[in-house]
Order: sequence, then C-alpha cells, then structure tokens
Amino acid sequence: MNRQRPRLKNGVDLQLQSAFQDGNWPVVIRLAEKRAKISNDQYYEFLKICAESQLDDPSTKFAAVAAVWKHVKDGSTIKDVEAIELMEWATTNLIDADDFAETLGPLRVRAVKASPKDKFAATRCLESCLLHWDLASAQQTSPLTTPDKRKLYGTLAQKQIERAAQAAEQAQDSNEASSKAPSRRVKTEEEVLLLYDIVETHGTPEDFRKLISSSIFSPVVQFRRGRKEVVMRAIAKFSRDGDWPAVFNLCNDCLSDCDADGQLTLLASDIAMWRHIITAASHMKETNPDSTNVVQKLLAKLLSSSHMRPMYRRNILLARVLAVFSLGPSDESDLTDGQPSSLRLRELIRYIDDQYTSPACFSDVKSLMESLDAAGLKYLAFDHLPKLAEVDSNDFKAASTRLLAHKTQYLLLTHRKTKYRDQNQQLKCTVCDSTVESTLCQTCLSQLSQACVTFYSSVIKSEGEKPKINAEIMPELAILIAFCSLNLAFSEDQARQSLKPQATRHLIRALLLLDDQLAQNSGHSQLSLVLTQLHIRLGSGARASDIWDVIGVKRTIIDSLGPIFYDRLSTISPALLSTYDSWGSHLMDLLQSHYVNSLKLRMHQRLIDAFESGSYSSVVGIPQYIESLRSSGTRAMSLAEARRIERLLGQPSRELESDPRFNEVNDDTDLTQTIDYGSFPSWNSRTVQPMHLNLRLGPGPSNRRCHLSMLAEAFHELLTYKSPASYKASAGSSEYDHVFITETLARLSNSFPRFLAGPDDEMTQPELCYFETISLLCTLMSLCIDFDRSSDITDALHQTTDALSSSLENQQSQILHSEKPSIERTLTMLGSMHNIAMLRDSTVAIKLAAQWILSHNEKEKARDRSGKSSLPKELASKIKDLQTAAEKSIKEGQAWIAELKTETVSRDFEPKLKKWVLEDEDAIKSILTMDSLPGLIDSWQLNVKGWLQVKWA
Amino acid sequence: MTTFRRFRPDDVNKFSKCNLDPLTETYELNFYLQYHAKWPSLFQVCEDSEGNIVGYIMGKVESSPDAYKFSEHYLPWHAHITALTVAPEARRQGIGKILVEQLEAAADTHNTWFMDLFVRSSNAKAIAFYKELGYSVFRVVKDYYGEHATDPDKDSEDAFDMRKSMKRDAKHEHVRADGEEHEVHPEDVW
Repeated sequence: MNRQRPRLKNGVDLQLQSAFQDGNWPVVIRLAEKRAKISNDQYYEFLKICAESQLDDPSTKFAAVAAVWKHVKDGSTIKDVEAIELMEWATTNLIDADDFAETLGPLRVRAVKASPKDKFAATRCLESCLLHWDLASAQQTSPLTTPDKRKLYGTLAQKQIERAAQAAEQAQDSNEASSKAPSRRVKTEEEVLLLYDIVETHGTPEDFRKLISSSIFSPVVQFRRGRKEVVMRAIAKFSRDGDWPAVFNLCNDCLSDCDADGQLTLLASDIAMWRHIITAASHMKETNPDSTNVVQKLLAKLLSSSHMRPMYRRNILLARVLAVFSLGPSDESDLTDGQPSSLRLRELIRYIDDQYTSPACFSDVKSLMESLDAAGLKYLAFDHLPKLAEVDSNDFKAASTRLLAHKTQYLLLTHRKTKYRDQNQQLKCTVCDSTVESTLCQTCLSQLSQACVTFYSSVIKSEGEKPKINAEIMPELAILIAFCSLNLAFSEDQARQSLKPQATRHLIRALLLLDDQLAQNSGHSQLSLVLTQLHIRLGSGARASDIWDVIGVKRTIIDSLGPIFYDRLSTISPALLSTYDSWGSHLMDLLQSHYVNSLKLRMHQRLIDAFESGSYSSVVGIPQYIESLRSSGTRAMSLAEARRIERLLGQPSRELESDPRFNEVNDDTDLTQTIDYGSFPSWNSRTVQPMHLNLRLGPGPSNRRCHLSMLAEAFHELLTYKSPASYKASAGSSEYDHVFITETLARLSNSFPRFLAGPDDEMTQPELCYFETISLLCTLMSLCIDFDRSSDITDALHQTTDALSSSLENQQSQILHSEKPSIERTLTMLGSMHNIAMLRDSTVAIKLAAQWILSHNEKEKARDRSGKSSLPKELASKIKDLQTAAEKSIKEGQAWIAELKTETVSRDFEPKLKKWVLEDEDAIKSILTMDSLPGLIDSWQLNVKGWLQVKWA
Repeated sequence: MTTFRRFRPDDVNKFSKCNLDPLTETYELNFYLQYHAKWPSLFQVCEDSEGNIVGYIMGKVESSPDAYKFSEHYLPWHAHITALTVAPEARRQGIGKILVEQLEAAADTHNTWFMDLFVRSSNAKAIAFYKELGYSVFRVVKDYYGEHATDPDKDSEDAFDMRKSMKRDAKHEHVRADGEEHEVHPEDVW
C-alpha cells in the first residue's frame, strides 16, 4: 500500500510542516517533541512517533505499531482524529490488513464516540473503516456473527425503509402541497432498488406482495418512470418462486406500455424480456392456453410500432421465432419431401430471409438451427442459404451470404446429430452417408474446406467491393478454412496434449493462412485471438506476443483475457517474460499492474463515492466485484507464471510470503476462473468442444490448479531460499530453520492431497505428474526428517521413491515420438515445450529434495552415532538413485534444447519445413503464400535461444 | 438479440467484443467504478444473448466549479457523454442511438439543461451520428487532442464540443447554430 504522505493539521508551524513534507525525519522528531512539551497537544506526540517509524533503524520502525497496540490494549481514546490519520499512514504495510478491525478500527470508533457531534471525525471513521472493510467498526456495532443479531439488524433496516416508503405513499395520497414538512421518503431509483432488496431479503412473502401492488413502487409504475431495473428484480424474484402468471403479466404490461401519445414505447423490447414472457407462457400452456395467443398478438402489435429501430425489430422478429420454437408444436419433422414442413423451420427461414445480411445473423440463429432435426439443418445449410447467395447481384452481399451458408454447413458437420449407427453398428454420416470413425466426418470437412478454398480464390481474383470484402469477409473465411484443418488435426489426435506430426502439419497450415490474413487486417480481434493460441500451441511464443500486443489487452480487461496469452506461457517461452528484458518487463507489467492498482486497499476507494452519491446498488456491487477480483484465478496465475520464470531463469525477486497474491490466499479461498471467450469465433456446434478449448494448451486456471501451482512454488522456495548476504545467522538459528522446514512440509503435505483429489481434466498430464511429484517429495522429506528406525515406515518410503521414479519416467515418455532426427522430431519437440518445462521442474524438485534428504541424513549420522535416526543404507541408496535419475534427465533436457538450436538455425530447416508443410493432399495448400513462414521460424529460433538461458540445476 | 440494462461491475469481464476494437480505449478499473458509483443510471450496457457486452455508454451530470461561475465558459448543470462504444459486429443496428436516447432520458430525470460531448473534428462518422440525433457543434476546442487521428504530420487536433438541449432548456438557450465559429482553448474547458 503506497499511500501519500498526509497533510499535517492546521496550526502546525511552517518549519515543522516543511520538514515533514521533505521527509526530514530527525528534524520532525526534534521539533514535534519540542512542540509537544510546550503545547501539551497529544497530536505532536503522535507526530513524533510517526516520524520515528520512518527511520531505517529497526528499533524505531515499529514505534507507531507499538503505540497503536498499546492504546488498543489500554482501552484509551485518541481523541484527535487527525492524529489517528497520521498513525494510520505510519502503520501502512506494517499492520496486517486483516488486523485493522482489532487496531485502528476500534481506535477510530472510540474517537467518534468521544466526540459524537464531530461530523468530520465520524465521516473519516466511516470512510477508513469501509476502505479497510472493517464493517463492525464502520457500523459501530459488534460483528454481526450470530443469526439473532443479523435478524435484528435486518428487521431494523426493513422497518426504517418501509417507513420511508409509507411516507412517500402518504404524500402522494394526501395533497402534497398542503402537507407539512415531509419525513424522509423513498424517492430515487436507487432508493427503490434498496427497498426491493431489503424487503426481498428480510421481509415476508406478504411484505413483497404489498410492495409490488403499491401505487408508487409497483414494478409497472416504476417502469413507466423509465426504471427498468426494478422490473428485472421483480421478474427474477417471481421466476425463482415459480410464479409464472406474475412473470407473464408483468412482462405483458411492460411490453405493451405506451407513451403519452398512445404509441408503444419499445423500452421493454429486450430479448431478455421476450425470453421471460415466452418461458412463462410455456409454463402456463396447459393451465392457460390463451397465453400463447397473447404473446403472438403482442409480437404482431409491436412489429407495427412507429418507434421501431433496427435493433428492436431484430429482437421482436427473433422473439417471434423463439415463441414458435418454445410454444409451437414440437413433434413435427422439419422437412417433408425435401421441403420445409415444420412451423419452426418456416419461421426460422422467414427470419433468415429478413436478416441474412446482418453480421450477427449466424450467432442470432445458431442455437435455433441446432434445435432443428438433421434434415432441417442440412436443408438450410446446403439448399436454402446457397440459393439465397445466388440471388444477390451485389458482390458484397452475395459473398456475405455465401459465407453464412458455409458457416452453417460447418455447424452442421460439427453436430453430433449428423452421425448415427446403422444396423451393423457402424457410425455413419447423414450428410455424405459414408462410414466415419469419429464425431467429425473427415470426408465432409475436406469437401467443405475445398468449397471454401474455391470461394477464397475466387474472391482474391474478383475486383468488386474489394476493401469491404477484404475487411469483413476474408478474415472469417480464412478462419473457417483454418477450422476445417484444425478439426482434421484434433479428430486424429484425441489425447489433445501432444500433437502427432500430421496434426502439427494441419496446425501449421492453419497458422500460415491466418497469419497471411492478419497481415491484411492488422488487429482483427478474432484472427488475433485464434493466432495467439495457435502460436503458443506450436511453441512460437515471440510471434504470439507480437500479435497479443497489437490487440491491446491491458488494465481492466486483463483479468478476463489475460489467461488466453499468459497461462502456461512460462512453460513455452520463459525468456519472453523475463523482467530483465524491456519487452518481457512490459508484458509482465501489463499482466500484474491491474491487480496492484485496483487492490491497493482492502476495499476500493470508489465505494466511498457510492455512499456519498446514495448509489446503494453500487454499494453492494463494488465490494462483491473487488472480492471476486482478489480471488481471481488470473491473479493467482500471474503469480505462478512470474515465479516459474524467475526460477527457470535464475532471477529471484522478493519472497513469496510477502506477495499479496500469495499471502491473501489460503486453502479455503475459492479462486475463480473468469475467461472471456466471447470474442472467439463460436462456430462449432454445442455438441462438441468449442475450437478455442481445443486450441489452448490445457484447461484454464481452475481453483485446484491455481492452488497446486502456488503450493509447488512454496516448495521450490523452501528448498532454494538463500538468506540475504547481510543476514548473519545466530547460534541456534539452524534449529529454527529445522522447525520452519518441518512445519512448512507438514502444511504442504496436508494441502497437496486436498487439491490433487479431483478430475484429471483440470490440468495437463505433465502438470498432474509434476504436482504429484512434489506432493510425494513433501511426504518423502517429512518422513525422512524425523526418521526413526523403530517405526515401520521403511516400506512407505520405498513405495514413495518407486512412485517418484515412475513419475519421472512417465513424464520423460511424454516428450518425444520419433527417435531419428527428422523435421517431424524437431517440430514435435518445438510443440512439446510445455512438457519439457514440467519435466524440468519435476527433475529439479527431485534433485533438490534428494540433495536435502541426503545432506540431512549426513547431519543426523554425525549427531546420533547410534544410527537410529539415520536412513537405512538401502533407502539412502535409493534416494541417491533418484538424484542420479534426475541429473540424467536434466542432461537429457539440456541436450534436447541444444539439438533444437542446431536444427532450427540450420540452413536447410526452412526448405525442409516448407516441403513438409506442403506434403499430402489438402485444399488449403493452394492458397498458402508461405509469406508468414519466415516469421514463424524466427519466432521458434528466438524461443530456443531463450530456452538456452534456462537454468537446469 | 440484445438487452439494454445498467452496468454491473462484473460486466468488465465481458467487454472484449467492444474493447478489443482499436477505436475503444480500455481504462483502469477505477474509471469504470467511478461512473458506476456516482452515476449508476448513466452507465448503460447492451448485452447479447451470450452475455457479451456489445455496446455501452458512460455519462455523468455536473456543472463547472463554482469558482468559474462568472466566467463566459461556465457550464451550468448538464449531462455529459464520456464514452460510447458499439462492437464492430453490432454496428448499424441502432444500438448507439438507443444508448444515447436512454442517457438523454436519464439526463432529463436529473433535470439537466443540456447534454454535451467531445468528438475529434476529423471523426466525420461520429459527428454525423450525433447530428442525426439532434446535436450541434457548440464550440471548437483548439488543439484539444495531443495527436491527430488521421494526419500523422499534425501533432494536435481540434475537438468539437457538441450539445443538445434537454427538456429543461425549452427555449434552446444553451445551444447555438454557429458553434463552429466559436473557438476556445483547452484551458477554457473544465
């Protein structure tokens, strides 16, 4: 917490003021002491203490902290609120944020109680307590820990606000002008929302019913005043209660609302509102069949509104289709004799015919198209939309409709509905009727790829509306061709972790095509995001960073988008993020500064603004968001990535324990994953995995993985920590070290199993092996520390060492597929950097742990000549073997990197690669310019060069 | 398929469709929270059916500091559009217009005299958009922007301060037809 130096209070002489502002602490101490004696003003005593706390002398550094604790324990009151401000400033970073509620919080409350009429003191107390999230002191109550107390305060809040609501109702009933001075009333939208919140949380169902039928506060009356939020609150409550008639009537009232001229306002015509009324009608279909007619009439009425905007029209047209899908017949075949027969398909076609030129048309109807039967969807994809494209004479319109047709075909091909088992139990494709081996039909995908490539080539050759087509059609078309290629890659490689050479070839082709397109459309977000993932997946971190930098992910959006680029990047390109280098420093700063800036205080400063402005929904919303940001998986990931880079490059920074990303988290903290994939092309059917999940290196930063990563970093720090050179160990300090190591290992041994238990799909296989290895090492070290030959743990130790050996072998086996030097072997290794990094971390951990155990064993042998507390020879030898195996693995890793360097810088690497990429039949080859190949090779070479900086031991 | 509603803090986790567009700046969290805290009804978003934010508008209500009360550049109680953005894929659907109209309705609730905004003088599309909504140039702020958006040879660019009367200004006393003739300097703008 870097807080600005406070201003001294009015009346302090200029000499002391300037010494304080200049940070001339010895002078401040001397002058403050003098003033304290003369004036007998408590303020100067505290000023002196605060100045002492600024000195480097460790004996005075904690003077302010000691003074605070003394006053708290004495029960004495510091009446001067400005003196408390000084103390708060002087103890920043020295008193733990969590201790505020036991130190400065109570002191502030005492000051307020001592001067109840001092509004300044009260306001400052409230602000400070809120920003430190000390709610008990903020309310000047004891903590609301018991249900009784919570109920009491809830009831008090309800009574207060209901009284204010009644005052508003009474003022309306009586003639307002004649009424005497009104009591506090509920007036603003924020106050109405607060009223709803309190009555919903603390009131009875009867209280809520009374509220929604109020002549002032009913949702419909509020809606007519332009307050839509109240309506949405009421709908949410009715839906939770299953009160569908209430939802239906409220939506109906709002949707049919008219202005003073009798014109429909359309203010409620959001898709959310339409969904609510359609859902309610579907629940009421049996009991109130007329509800469907009401919805249809409403839709027709709104479509004729004179206030229409394209957006509202689109919402209403789509609501009409949604209504048919939800309320219409559900047992009809979509196609009869090759023609649309169901009402839903006909209604959907009507919508598409109206909206097909909108860039959002595909995403608007995607889920509806997926609800059709396979024949209906096939008709749209291969019959209706291609015909629609032929009708257009305008080049751009024709091209965009053709693209829409191809995207729909792609959706069809990725849908599980298009596969069925015949009488011989063979999986068949309904589109081409051929036998298939997986969810995706390779024949169909190749044909679609061919059709898109033909389209792509024809567009390149055409002249009409070139800039518009290049900017709006070509990037999506290139992505579609790339997706066909990528689906071929992933359908062949079910394991998804390490790519086989043929799959790698598909990925490189897709990458080259998309890089070509990005050169034409710099900063295109969809191209950039897919390419970032592709480059990282192929081990080309440098090019990924160039692309990432252009799209400008920074500040507030780093939390939701950061993992797309940074997650596991330390395992692919550690040197890229080195803070010793300006580019790496820039990239790491983009990732980390958001948390430093936004989480300076326990609670965000803007909460005070919300209080001052009477924005009650923000008073509730801001703390919720800040808490979620504090426990964000991306924040934890930023620490794990930074620490791994420092370890790999041998660039240690500050201690892990002093990092708030580490010390604010305990095993019970739920680290939440928030990744915004909204800007990725979402074209796969929902019955298969989205492409961005296929492309990423592994699962996102889940709670389990984040915790395991931090525990692993704590383990490495334990074994690699070196005291600062200035630190002189005192006699007996080795005993403290021993206790510290024992306790840390016990804590880690306890925490690891908690997070290791769970599904394997929350991390990559090498990560799982790595975390298991460290967990086993914690157990092994704990058992060896206090080894006692009389206890029967030798078997357990043997089993643990065996498990560690197997884990190491397992990780080694995941790296290479081909033994002979070849372009395939080089590319496989370039795409296996994550596996290599995890193996490196495991082997280093094993080596360090084995060294530590053996050294500890030697000490024990020297200490206890009886040999009872030292390891049996056989076990010690097994641990030595483990160390040898780790050292061998380290050498192997170093040799791989050396080999990669030789291969990637060799003259024939580029021609060999080019030849290899263009081998085999694939439509995409005809449109690859190969202009982006040198960039990819440069990026790989840079990556390998960076890996040469990695410390292996 | 969209819904218009108030901004909520966790909407920033769904900003990518708008903020990855090079024309939209991403600010520190403090900036978004300031608007959410002080003027929650003037920070509106438009979300698609997947919950992605495809447009948003940030506004505020204020007047110039009292110290400038007698200055010719003093601004009485008014609303201001700080930011308006619509994701590329959601453009040409009238989303921007709806967002501005909703802000105008909120400005009327706050009983403001007028709504104003700043736009680069080279941003013809935005100027046309606001003119269509009834805004007119009130004054030209010379060299307001540090760099020119379209001409790399120029090291600054003028801003148009555009205005539209709200209901309170029934006589249109706070707008003028010849605003492009009125030039002021950045130091006259608070």
